[in-house]
Amino acid sequence: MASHTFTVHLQPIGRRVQVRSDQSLLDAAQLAGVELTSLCGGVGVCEACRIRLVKGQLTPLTADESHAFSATQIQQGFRLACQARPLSDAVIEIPPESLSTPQRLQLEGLQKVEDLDPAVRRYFVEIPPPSIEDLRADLTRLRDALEPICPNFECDYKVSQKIPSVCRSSQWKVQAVFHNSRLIQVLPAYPKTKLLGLAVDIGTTKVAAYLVDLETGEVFAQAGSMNPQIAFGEDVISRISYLINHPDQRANPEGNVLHRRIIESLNTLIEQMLAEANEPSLTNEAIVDAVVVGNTAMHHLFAGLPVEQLGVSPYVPAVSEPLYIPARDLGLFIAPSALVYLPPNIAGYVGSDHVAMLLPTIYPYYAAPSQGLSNVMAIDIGTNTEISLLHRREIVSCSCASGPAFEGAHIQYGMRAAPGAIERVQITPEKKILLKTIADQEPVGICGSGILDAIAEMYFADLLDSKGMFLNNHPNIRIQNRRMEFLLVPAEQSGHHQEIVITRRDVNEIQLAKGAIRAGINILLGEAGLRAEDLDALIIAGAFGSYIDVRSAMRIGMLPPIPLERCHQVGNAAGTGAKQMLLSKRYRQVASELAQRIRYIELSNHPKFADEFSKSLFFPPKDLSN
Amino acid sequence: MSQEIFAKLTNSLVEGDPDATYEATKEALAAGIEPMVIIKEGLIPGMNIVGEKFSCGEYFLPDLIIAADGMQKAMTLLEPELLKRQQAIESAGTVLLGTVKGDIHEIGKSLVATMLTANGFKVHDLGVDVPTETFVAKVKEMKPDILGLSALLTTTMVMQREVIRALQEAGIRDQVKVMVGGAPVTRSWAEEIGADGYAEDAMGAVQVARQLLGK
Repeated sequence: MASHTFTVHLQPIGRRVQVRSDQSLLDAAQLAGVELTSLCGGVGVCEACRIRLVKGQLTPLTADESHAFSATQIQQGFRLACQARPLSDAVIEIPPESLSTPQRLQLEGLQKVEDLDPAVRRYFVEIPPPSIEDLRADLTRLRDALEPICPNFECDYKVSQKIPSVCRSSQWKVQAVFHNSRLIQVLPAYPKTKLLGLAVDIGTTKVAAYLVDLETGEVFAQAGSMNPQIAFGEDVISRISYLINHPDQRANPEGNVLHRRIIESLNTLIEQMLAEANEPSLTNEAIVDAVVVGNTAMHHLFAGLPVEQLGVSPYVPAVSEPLYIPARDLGLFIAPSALVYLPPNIAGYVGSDHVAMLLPTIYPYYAAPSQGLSNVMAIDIGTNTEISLLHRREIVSCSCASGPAFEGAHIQYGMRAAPGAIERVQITPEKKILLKTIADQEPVGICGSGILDAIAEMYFADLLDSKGMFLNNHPNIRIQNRRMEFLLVPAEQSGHHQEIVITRRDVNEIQLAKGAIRAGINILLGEAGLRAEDLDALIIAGAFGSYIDVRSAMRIGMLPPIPLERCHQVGNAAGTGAKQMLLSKRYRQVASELAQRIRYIELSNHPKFADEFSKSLFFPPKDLSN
Repeated sequence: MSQEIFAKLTNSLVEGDPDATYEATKEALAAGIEPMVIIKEGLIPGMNIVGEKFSCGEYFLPDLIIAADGMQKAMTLLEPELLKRQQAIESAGTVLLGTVKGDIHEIGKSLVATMLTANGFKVHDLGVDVPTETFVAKVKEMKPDILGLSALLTTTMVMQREVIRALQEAGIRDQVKVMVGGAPVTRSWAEEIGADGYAEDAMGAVQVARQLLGK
């Protein structure tokens, strides 16, 4: 039989895709770049790829499908995408729970070109060369040439050192780069290189850096690395106590070792990004602006500010207002006179990274014509989890000590999200265990989204009770040294021929982490007098937050139960916010305004915290609609 | 009959069912069992099993919290009865407890308080972020047998040393036994700062408190 081609329309994402009659709707979704959940690899077992036929004709129901759906669901048009093939053009609805990545907002796409208004701009000028009749100084000569466009500018002394050589080597045709009205760089006019800005998000665990073309808004290169300060402690407090216990480091005129390490590692990332560009004319001198965001401790360590007072209650920052620091003072390897912008901090544990994260997430609602009347919550999940809630034009924020469990730390077989990490887990009604690993390699460990799934699935399959204790309900549950554990992958099926096991201690680590997050959510909702169902949107940011199955997070009670279509997983929103501030001065003003307006709530001594945290350690009742 | 109710009380704590603890306590009172006996024969054995399971890694924080919740629910019924009989809970000793200055962590310290109370100690909880001078003043005023100092941060455990120094300077160091604890605190730290006792967890704290008082 000759194969036909049909158009399949995927709703509500609104994508169209051409599909051959011998291809399944799961293939169609994959062609369209829609990540439908599929754990069994399309053989009709996991029943996760549920879709609904709105219009058109499909191949008849298979036995697996009849088994998967009730009569009513079949009447409503429900099908399994891996089993159904099109017999005509068709319109298919994908319910949110079938998307493995619920409608990931493309934050990068939000940056409109008409918003481009960087703090830094450049002018090309031709300067009349000196002669015996014209004895003006080089700087004066440059001033006079720039008089019509930028009168009476300030000149950084480092720039005046290089003006004579640049002018002479370029036959007096130069580009003058200004940060507002301050001259921060002179370069030969030709070759006309790109003008670049650096955006950095310093996380406690990871660092992300972007080089952005300041004149087009395009991300020119990006790179990431681990935060080298991990060698001095995996969390903020241990790094602070390292400095408390090493007075010689605090007094080091070159800056303490944590400061130096982060600068060195940023310099390596800059080199790496420039090398990738492979344009010999593009050097560090072309990077003329920088925005660096991070939590308050990362901010202070980067800026060389003292952190000891951040380590003890009441956790006061040394500086919370925005800072501009010349790159040369930091030893950051970009144009030496470039002014590195550090947006404001909110409190000891809510830093400029959270302010940056609010720009692409909460700010659009805040500034909307409805005057920010929506109730929107934004969560950045990490070693410290920051949460903000917008309600009646007020923003309340808090920080929860969720710990590094979701990064794979403190979990016996935990690992970072790398190839071979188990990222999805399902336990079928027949108690069969289905796994998906990153890059489809043989499993070698579990990453954050995988452990979250595993615990939610074990709880719903009655292998765990609501306190997180194992119930002896599955052949893979066993007792080792008086302790119960769950065998997730037998040795012969793993990539390293060792068993992968989930212990009660692992379950407890996740309970502590999710309990802290949920307590924060509940306290913010309580402060605003809201219930979870009043939320119009729940925005989940951060690398881990982008890959979790939101349903699993709701099932174990990390997130409150709200309709899935109100949840948005947005990736590294802090990095996006940093880029926005790089490309638009307006966003720097917005950052200051938000930081001032935010009402910060300290959780650890909040009267309701101990109670909310204790309650949130347990798993919620299973009667959730989703 | 009463053995059955005691077993019910003990099991409800071990299994983490506070409502069942509450109901069994009601049942015990209705059966005419003395409140003091209910505590000693039903509740304390349960809390001790929970504590042991926690110490050996079989139980975790959620189990401890839910057991403490059951204990507190039972005490809401028993305390008025004890008052009526003008009985005080027989005291194994008095403990003054608090989290040191600069540290506002509550939960670990409160669990120690619960376990000590469950084991017959009279506990005065000073709360969190307690200034060193307050510890000294309260030791003078209340003359407790034991002072317990909690610190949950590596940055604040140094305050435990400060409190011990302040007690020495006030000349009252030998009037009170000092116990220290908290996640970053270790036995060698306790020895280094001259504390009398250290325990890894709430159950251990009860044993150490007993040892310190020679019981």
